[in-house]
Amino acid sequence: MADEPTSSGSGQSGELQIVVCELADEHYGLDIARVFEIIRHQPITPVPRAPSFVKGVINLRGRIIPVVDLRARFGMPEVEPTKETRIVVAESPSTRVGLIVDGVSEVLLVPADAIEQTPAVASGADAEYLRGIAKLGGRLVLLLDLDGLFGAEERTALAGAA
Amino acid sequence: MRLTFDLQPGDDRLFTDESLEQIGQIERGLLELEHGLDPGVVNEVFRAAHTLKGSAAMIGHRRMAELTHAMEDLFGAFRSGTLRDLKPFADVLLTTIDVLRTLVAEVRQGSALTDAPESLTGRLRELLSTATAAPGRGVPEPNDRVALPADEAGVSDSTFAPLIRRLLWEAPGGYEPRSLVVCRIDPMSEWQAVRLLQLVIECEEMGILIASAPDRREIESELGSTLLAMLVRGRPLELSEMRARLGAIEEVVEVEVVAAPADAPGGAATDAPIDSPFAGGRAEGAASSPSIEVYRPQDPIPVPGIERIARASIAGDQLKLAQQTIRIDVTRLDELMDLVGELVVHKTRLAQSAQELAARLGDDPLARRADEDAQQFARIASQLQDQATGLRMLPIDTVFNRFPRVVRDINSQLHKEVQLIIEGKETELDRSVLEVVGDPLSHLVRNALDHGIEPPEERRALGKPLPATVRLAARHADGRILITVEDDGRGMDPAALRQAAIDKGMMSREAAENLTDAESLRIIFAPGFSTSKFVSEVSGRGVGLDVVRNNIENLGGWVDVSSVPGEGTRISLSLPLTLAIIGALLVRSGPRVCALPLTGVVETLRIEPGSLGRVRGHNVLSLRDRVIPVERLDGALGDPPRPLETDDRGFVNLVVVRSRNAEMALAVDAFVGQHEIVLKSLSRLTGERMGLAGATVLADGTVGLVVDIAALIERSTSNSVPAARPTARVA
Repeated sequence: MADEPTSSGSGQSGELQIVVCELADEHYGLDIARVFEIIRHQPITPVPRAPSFVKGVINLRGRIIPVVDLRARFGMPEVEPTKETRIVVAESPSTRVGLIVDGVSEVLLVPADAIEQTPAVASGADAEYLRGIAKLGGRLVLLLDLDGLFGAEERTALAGAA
Repeated sequence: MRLTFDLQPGDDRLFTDESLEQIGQIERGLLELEHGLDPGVVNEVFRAAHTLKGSAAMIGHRRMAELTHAMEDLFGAFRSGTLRDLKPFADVLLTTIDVLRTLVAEVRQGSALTDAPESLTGRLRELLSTATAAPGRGVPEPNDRVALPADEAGVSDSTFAPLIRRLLWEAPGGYEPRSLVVCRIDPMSEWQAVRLLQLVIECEEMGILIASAPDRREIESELGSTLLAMLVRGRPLELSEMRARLGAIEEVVEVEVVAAPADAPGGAATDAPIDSPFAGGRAEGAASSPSIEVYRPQDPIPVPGIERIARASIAGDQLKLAQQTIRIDVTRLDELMDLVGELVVHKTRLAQSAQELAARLGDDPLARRADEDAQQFARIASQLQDQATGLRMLPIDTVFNRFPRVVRDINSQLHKEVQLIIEGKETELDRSVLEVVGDPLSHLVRNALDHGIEPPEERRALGKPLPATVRLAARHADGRILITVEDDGRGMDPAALRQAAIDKGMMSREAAENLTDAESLRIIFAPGFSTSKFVSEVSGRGVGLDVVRNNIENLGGWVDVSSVPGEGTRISLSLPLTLAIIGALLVRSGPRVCALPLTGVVETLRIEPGSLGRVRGHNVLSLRDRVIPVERLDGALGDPPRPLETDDRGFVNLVVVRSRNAEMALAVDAFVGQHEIVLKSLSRLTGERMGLAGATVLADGTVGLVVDIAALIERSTSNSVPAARPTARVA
């Protein structure tokens, strides 16, 4: 079921439109079709017994959504929120989740031929949650596979419950 | 095998919902028809099958369309009177129902889930042709329209009898010569109402019509019928012109004219008044007194002909009503409820702001106006909340209607003779409760049938009535809904239950002997109580009544049981009408605000730490004559344990909570206040939610966690704190 780089995303044209987020000194790309909204950091209600990377829940216009700290998720050192900190609200068919990132820098159009398969040794993020790497100008943008990530989160959370 | 259907995205849900509704209607109809053929019900199932076939064909679900077509043809034979007894077909038709449900599931699944429809379609066709292949009859070709010979059935045809009786009963008296005209329309006609109307208008234009059944109003309300009886002036011999004109109308397959009995009213139908209470109950729905329906095991129910018509004409009324309702996706209702919940929260904030404004400005016109506006806003918001909650209310029938089938199946499986009586099926409750009450009820009904009711021979030997009775009833009481499952079976013996509890090591002999009889009955709800006698295929293995009790108590409900040995058992469930909006005590605990549902809160206390006692290393509170374990709320929910803390005035804030007979005192940092809250679910991503019922949005827009008091106490009493364990946990 793992997505091929060109099999989904923003249309059939072979281009992918992504939201670029900053995490430590790395750039991560999220398929814009999956980004519901980007909000400023706000008070989060901690939930007992939640996995350590789930910081708690917030109210998004009446809907309660869990918030995941991507730094904690990828094993990076956690930091206090700054005024650049954003919560990227992303959705998959089954769930809606807030992702805490250090900042959101831009929206980019990535041509399909700029996307490469993830090398075995990649970055803080486990390779299985990446759908590829885009080389844009002089920098690398790691493309997150939200389905893989959400699926793993749920499995982790449920396993923790057992 | 992958399947693709001709559906717009999102339409699969509409198709599924509508189809399941039609299938449910057919199933209920079949269960009624098994006890006797009722033309109204035959029409209903025929129409439902027809609609189902149409929708299946429309989305290109060929196997489903073919199966429903075969079923429709079979119903057509009942409708035309070719077949008269449904019993031989009941099993195969009910199997068809089950297969149809699977076929509907295929649409969302996108792949084939069953290979039954092909053979089943063939079997239905075979049954139909065998059953209708009597000599001298036209064997209906399943796929073609059938023209019945005009002289096949006379007025003596029993399907006409109710129409004629009603006609004679309703028609004004008179002494001129009269005739009865009965007409039959091709059962496959798509234009039944039009044809019936043409017939009636024809006679009206000739100036001979006295009355018709169904009457014009009923026909115009699209009452589906292929039969028409008319009372007209003149002797049969004088009416040849009429006969010709009626016979010329398309799709009219039979016109029969006989002399009407003179001055018929009074004598003809005294046995069944037309304005039977049955009619009122059906039409008024929720507004009327609770209805009672009886589903018997074997003996056919004699249904008076006139009631059948009363029923049919009400079906017509319901049809008209149906046009004034719209179908709404439940997620949209939930979203509406979410928004209303936010509005209610802001209502409180607005009122606070207005008061602060008044305090700051004193007697100022602007402050007064703000206060008045806030009050007006609060009134409207409350009304809106009531309305939105009302939209989510559904009759409990949506849960009850599965039980006639359950009872029928268990009857044949366990060879029992049980009639099911359903009362108050129009009782309304919130969707949130409805969704969770079905499984516990199924469990209780199956239990009653399996364990409660004796086998027929045993009942006969005891001189108890056959069939046995299981009564399922719902009603509103004290702002809650009360559901009872009652049987007249063998009942339970408190002493035997006490002995079983001792034998199983669930309690000591002393503890058991201290139980009253009423407390002893509650042993059946204790975890792990299920004797070998209590395990069978029907009730399932392992899952016991403790699960039922837990499910109900998690909803803020409770379970009661009463029983008389030899006479029967009654189990009552009391549930809140809604789970969506609940009263709660808000408290601050650690890094968050928590909401404790008021249903579980006994009292709040502020005490000096020195007045707490210690039992085996745990804090306890001596309250009047009770000893109650004390635990920090955040710790009980799973935060790292911390010692008790006092507030700035040196007190420990405690909330005493209760679930069943167990109590505990939760230490919190501060009391925030008492509010109505909207309960929302927590994402699975937040992990184990033991002790949490969900979350809610607080007045400041942040999220508070809603505590599941029953689960918290259950865990606390089963884990540690010896003093928390009540002397008899099952009591």
